[in-house]
Amino acid sequence: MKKQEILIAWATLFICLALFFQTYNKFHFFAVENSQLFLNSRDFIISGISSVGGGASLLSGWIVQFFVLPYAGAILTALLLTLTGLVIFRLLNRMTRPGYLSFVLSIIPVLFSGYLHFNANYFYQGTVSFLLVLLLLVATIRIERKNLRAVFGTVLPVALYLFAGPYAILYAGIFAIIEYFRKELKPYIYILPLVATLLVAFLSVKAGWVGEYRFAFLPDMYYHALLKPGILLYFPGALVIISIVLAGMLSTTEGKKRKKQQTIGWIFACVTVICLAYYGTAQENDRKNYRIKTFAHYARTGQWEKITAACKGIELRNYVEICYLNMALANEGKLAENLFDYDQHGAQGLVVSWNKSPDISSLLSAVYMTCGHIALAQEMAFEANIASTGNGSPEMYKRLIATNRIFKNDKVAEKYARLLKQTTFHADDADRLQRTTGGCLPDTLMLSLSNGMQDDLEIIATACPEYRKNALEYCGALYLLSHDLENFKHFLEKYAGTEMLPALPRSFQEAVLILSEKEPGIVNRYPLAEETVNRFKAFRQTVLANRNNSSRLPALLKSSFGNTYWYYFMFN
Amino acid sequence: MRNTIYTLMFTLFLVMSQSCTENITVKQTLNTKPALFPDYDETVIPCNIAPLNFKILSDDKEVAATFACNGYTFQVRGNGRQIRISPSDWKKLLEKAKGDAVNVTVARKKAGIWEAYLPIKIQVAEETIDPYLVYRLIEPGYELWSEMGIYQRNLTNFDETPVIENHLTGKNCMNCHAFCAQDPNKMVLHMRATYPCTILIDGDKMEKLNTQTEQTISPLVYPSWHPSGNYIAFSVNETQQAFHISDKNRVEVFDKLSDVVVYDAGRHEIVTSPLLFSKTAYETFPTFSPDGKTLYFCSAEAKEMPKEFSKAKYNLCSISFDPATRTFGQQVDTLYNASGGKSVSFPRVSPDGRFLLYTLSGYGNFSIWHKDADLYMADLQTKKSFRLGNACSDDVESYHSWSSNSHWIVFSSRRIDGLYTRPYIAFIDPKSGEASKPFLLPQEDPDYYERSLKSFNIPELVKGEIDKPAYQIAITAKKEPGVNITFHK
Repeated sequence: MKKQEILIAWATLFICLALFFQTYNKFHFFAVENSQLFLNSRDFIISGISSVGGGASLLSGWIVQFFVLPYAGAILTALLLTLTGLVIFRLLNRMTRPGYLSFVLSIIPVLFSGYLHFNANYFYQGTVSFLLVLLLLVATIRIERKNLRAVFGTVLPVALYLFAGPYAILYAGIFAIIEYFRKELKPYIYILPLVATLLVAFLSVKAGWVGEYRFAFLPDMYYHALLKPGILLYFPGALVIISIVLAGMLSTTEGKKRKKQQTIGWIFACVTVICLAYYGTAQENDRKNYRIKTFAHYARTGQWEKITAACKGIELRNYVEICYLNMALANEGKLAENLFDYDQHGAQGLVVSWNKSPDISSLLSAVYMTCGHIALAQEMAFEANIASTGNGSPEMYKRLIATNRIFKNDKVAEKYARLLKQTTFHADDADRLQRTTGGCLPDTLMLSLSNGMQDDLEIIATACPEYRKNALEYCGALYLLSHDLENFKHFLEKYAGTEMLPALPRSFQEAVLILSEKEPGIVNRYPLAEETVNRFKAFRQTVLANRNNSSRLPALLKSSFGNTYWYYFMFN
Repeated sequence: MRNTIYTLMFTLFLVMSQSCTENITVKQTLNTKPALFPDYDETVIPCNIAPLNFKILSDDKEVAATFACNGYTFQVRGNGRQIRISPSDWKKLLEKAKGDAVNVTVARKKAGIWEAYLPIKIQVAEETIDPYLVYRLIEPGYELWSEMGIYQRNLTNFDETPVIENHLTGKNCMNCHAFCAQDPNKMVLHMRATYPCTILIDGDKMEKLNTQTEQTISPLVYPSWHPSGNYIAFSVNETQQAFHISDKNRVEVFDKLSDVVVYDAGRHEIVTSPLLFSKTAYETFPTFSPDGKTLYFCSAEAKEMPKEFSKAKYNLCSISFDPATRTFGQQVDTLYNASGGKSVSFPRVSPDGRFLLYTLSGYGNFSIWHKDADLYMADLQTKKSFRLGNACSDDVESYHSWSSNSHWIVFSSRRIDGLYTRPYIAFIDPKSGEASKPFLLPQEDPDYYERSLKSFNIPELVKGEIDKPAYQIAITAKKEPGVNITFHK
């Protein structure tokens, strides 16, 4: 390959990767940023660097903090991956003549590495460590004086192990392979770095620095500690080793044998590309979560209209998506008005069950905040922070500042604000939140949810005018979505027509009309829109006309009445 | 170029050494005492404690402090607003000051003139404190946890080392470390969630215990060693927690059921008495007297939980125990009757048997989340009980333990910010049982507590270092099948 070709090839790869990530993964990068906190403080850096792999973790944290900016996640990740490919290319070229095969072999580990960035449980630290290790390896093998190279090759991986974690073993392994083909050092010298690094890894476990052998010896350190990573995590490192061995073999042969080995190289490249395609489709699970990541970003940034727009006319896949939708509706002030304009599947679409994950905890924190349940908003923010993998979440720290201010726990709010003020991008928000006043708490010695969510919401709505609308609409909607019309009727008797609920939103009116089937007089007690009443008559007529045609009835009603509580009541 | 750099470096060195050795000559005296964090003024400290580094809570840019006692004096120039004391100077000072007071004069430089605040006084007791403090560091979370560990801090310096951290054991939960008569070689701790078990360390022996039995409602929970080391009293609890809608106490942790049992370490059996194992009462927080003949515990009438959470009030009770026969007395004595009053938790008898320290709060037993929780002392000779006014604050004072010589207590308090528990140490007057003004466990960096997002749980004083490697504890928990304990009927 000519120099110009090489330049164009890598530049093209960088652009393609950046475009690919920006198109398909930009909200993932926002989510990654929101799950970690990087502090510009000496103590944070000292405490971070003092653990095995902590240096690379800090470095990745420093990079990830920029992901809060639009395009930064895609561009920086593409840049890191392109650099990684370039470094592998240089490694291969040290062993054999530069060619298209070297280029292809260099980009395959990069592409596998790229797929890892679709996985929420993969740590960015892995990509940074991978690049760092390969970069230092290239620097080492460029040293011409063999004794000096041997010294560097032995000392560096040990230091790298402490700084970047188990990818340092990859350094030592590849160093040994390269030196084996180079035949300048004695075997016991080029094996020494590998032995030394493995020994350090072993001792790390014995000393209690690393919890398990798999974290000490495998890239598992770069994955969520409580989960078993898939095989994809091991591919980038393994592929580099195989490519180096192939390049080494090519460097020692000429003529027909070399051609044969080149063919093997191409076959290997083709097989790995097929694997790549296979794993690409295997990422479908993560793709399914992408809409949630998208909604989470919109919710964080208050772009509620984008959530409701995205949900219009589509089937929502799970309660988490519906929860985001309903929270967006509430924040737009039209939860009870437009509730059934969207796909609804039960009360969990308002308050999803807590599964102790950081994502659900932070969603629930936002939901509780929306309906004015400050205590649970705070609890969930705390739980989300604890469960997050990287020192807590900026968004949750902001929620903790806000809720502690409402609880008048100013010293705790100040503690969290002080923390955020050490970040590059969240300091202003911390300052603003710290100065924010207002908020309201009911005056009661009662445990949350002891009599159910609806009871809490009624207490909040009664005590706190600022949360009243959302609290009552969530409360009423919870009754409707769980088909609890008996309690909905009590709810109406208590609040409808009072200053707390002066007018009934559309879904509540629709529920009154269902109640009127058993209790006709109820329609006179509440002001109902004429249009709603007429529509209910039409709905009733359609049902009666098709009572013997139960299989066609749902489809028949859906087109005209799919956005009503009556339809939901009958078919959900 | 190189010469220029050397010249610059040498000049910098001269300037620095000049500023380090410059004597502070006070030209003016202020009428106020300095505001310090931690506040060490009028405290009583042990003569073997680590340097009491502090920071000055003012806008002063340049500060210094002079420490003086019995002719021994040294000055410390501020690092910003922090005063960090040289360990060797501090050690010499404490040696001179045993039984006497140290005067600390803080000065600030304003418009080129040093102005001194009124001196603060720190009383140095002749009595030492046990050299190690063992605690769990964990975020003050509610249901979830992330990284946590049990650590030991050398109180004579700033060294903190992990006893066990949960990254070695699948990020599980670990809690309730307890020692036999402050002996670091005789301890228990629990692990929950992943690798659930109790680890018992007795000298070189380390045992994994599987402590759930058919007859008990839960695995063993709150421990207290018998002084012989042959028994450990435990509670078994079915505990729940809930968040207050708006109360200042945030969280309510309550038992739906609880009993007290005694574990026989030699036979791997638990024994109990109907008086400790009642369905109509909650019994919890057992603690043995130093002679091993009495078992103290808290007991409340069972209520409908969580509805009546604020009606559960715990008495302080005792029952006799015969270690030779593993039998209990037939009668329960009530030392503090909670009816109409407050509720007792965490009774702890001083190793000399003279006093019993406990927590009182409005209701319930998990006073750690109760802002009204205060420390009380019962004089077991006179049977009189009183609030430790000097030790208490407007916020939570809760878990506490004694030093082996009965002169010091350590307790956790949320007084700094209302959320994060911090360990405070107070001197106990051997005659009256009154506590001195407590001092916050000193840290090398006075900003440590401001920065730290972890609470100190269960501070326990011990007589030496725990030398069991964390790896060995982790391997025992992960690999050993464990001994199934049985319930002796």
